[in-house]
Amino acid sequence: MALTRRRLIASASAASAAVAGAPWFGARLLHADYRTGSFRFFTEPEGRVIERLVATLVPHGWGEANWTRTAQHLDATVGGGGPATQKLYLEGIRMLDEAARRTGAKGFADLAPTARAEVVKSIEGTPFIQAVYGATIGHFYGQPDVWKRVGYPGPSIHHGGYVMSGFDRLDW
Amino acid sequence: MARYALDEPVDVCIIGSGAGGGTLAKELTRRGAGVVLLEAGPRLVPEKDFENDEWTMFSKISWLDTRQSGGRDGTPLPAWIVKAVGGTTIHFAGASLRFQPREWKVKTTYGDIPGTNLDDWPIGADEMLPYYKQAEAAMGVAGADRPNPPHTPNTNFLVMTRGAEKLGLHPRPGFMAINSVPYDGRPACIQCGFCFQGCIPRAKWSTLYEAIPKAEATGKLDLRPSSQALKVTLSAPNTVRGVLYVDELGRQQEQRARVVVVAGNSIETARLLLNSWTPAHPQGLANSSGQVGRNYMRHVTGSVYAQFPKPVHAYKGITMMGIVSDFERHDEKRGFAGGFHLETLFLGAPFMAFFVKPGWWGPDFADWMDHYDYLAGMWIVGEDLPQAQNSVTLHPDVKDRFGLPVPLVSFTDHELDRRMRQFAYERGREIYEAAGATKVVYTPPYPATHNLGTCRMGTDPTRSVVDRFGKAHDLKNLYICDGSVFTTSAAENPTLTIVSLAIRQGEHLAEQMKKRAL
Repeated sequence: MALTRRRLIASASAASAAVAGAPWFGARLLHADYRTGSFRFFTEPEGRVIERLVATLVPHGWGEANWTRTAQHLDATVGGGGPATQKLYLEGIRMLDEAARRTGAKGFADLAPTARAEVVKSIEGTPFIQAVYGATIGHFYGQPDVWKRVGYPGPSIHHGGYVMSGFDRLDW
Repeated sequence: MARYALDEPVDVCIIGSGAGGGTLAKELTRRGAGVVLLEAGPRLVPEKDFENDEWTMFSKISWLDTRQSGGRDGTPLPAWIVKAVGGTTIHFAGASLRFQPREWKVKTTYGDIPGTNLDDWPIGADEMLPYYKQAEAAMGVAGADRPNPPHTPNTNFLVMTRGAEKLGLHPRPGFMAINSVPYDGRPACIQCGFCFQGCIPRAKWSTLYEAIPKAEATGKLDLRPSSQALKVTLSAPNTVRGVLYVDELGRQQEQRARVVVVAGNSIETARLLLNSWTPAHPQGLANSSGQVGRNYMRHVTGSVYAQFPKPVHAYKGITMMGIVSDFERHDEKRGFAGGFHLETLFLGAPFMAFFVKPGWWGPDFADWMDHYDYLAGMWIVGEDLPQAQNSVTLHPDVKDRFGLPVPLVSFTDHELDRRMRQFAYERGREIYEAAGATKVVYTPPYPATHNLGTCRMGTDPTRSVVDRFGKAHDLKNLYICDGSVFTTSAAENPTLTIVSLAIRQGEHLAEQMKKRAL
């Protein structure tokens, strides 16, 4: 059996997949450290579909770099996951592209944001979308730079909590 | 610190170091009894191990061993509780409310309600009052007429207050087991906003740094962390011999004891008793009534979050700072049984995104999150009705790493529970709209932190598991000391009542042992 790039990565990451524990939050336990914007498990077109799917789920105006980072996190999770997870994602990507082509587009990644949202809405209840949704929400909003964007300062213990900085002051 | 031999009966072996077990260890050791305290989780150090980070602490302290969910209203993770020394007192918000007097006698008050297994507690408000006062002193509860002065309202509570007062309601700072001034050698709260993640300064009460160090200081406590109880063992059909457990090095051991107390939270306590079946107790230990694992309750809960035109910064300060108790009474005209409280609650951005409306995505969701600092939030906590089929049972197929069946936790709301939740959502909406909210969201229940009622207390051994002191009807020397003994759930956060019952049980056990009745 030929050792494809995909299979090599999958077997090398099998150990880290075991720490995932409760699937409910497991996606958060895997962290990827990427030096470039490319994907390791997904092909570039596949990765681009995942990235646009993330963008559709959490369409913040400032989101571009953060969507890419979460897509790369999903890439690592899927690469380190079992064959069932990999199949779920690869079939899901195909499903998104096919739905997009039925509207006359080249693929999901080429659709306009509103059209992408319609495609996602039409398959919202599928295990694929649910898996991407849970992992996306967990990862995207787990990042300190995203906290800053939405107005959440994160840890406060280092500056002594808010007892001296406005916990009891409502400015309106 | 004491070290007791495995094969010589220690006075008492307690399983679980949370609100019930940790407090009981203190009460027994200070009266001179020797105690082995088995805790499944590790002993964490607040300054070193606790962090102001929701997901990090969730994965560090939660009980994540395999559990399956069942019933129509089961949550993916059945319960949000802690596996560490101190148990769920590490995660609890600190709310410390006494039961309302009628809640000890709800069968008498509500009458028979179809589909429920209502009963009166065998104890009442007058009998419990002195123990509530002792518990409040131990926990340093803040509030009017409590050991600590009331807390200063945070912004989340100021918003709730503004709306509630416009409606003629009576918001007030909650009774919180969080120091508002230095107390019992622990500092005052610095309003860091991470009550649920483990209190780094130790201002919020926990057995981890209150009851357990005090028990250790007596020289009578042998605390064994990372020790998972497997079964309670017997020396005779009605006499417990000890506890079979796996120690921190993975070795199976049996600790012998004159008395065994199970305090593992409603899910693990019921599971342990069911897994301890023997030919003489084929339905599980202490289960001649068939009630072990039944009548599982988790309170009627849910959250209301609202967006305002101006910033609130509700993440600052004590999470459960304030309360509206105007709806706590029983009022048949409302179409449900019992009452509820509305308590402020807020989540960090990671958990807000995850929990506010599971499945929500797209532009509206992104806009909601973009206004994170413009949000306020509250939590509903109300009495839910005991139903026999809401239960903790042994999973027929799935086993844990020790080969024992994992728990299957099944829950379906009673029709009246659903009505109460809907009524409470609407009252929350009114409060926030009166305060000027532009958007309101109803959030479904989080995984349960209040797990109650799987080993109910009662006088009739055919309809209950333990007696008025928490002793198993079926056995001479087996006691239970956690929320599983709750006959009914009442509308109040349960920790204060669990601690009060533990203090009362400690007094009783010490008397019985002194008389050599045990």
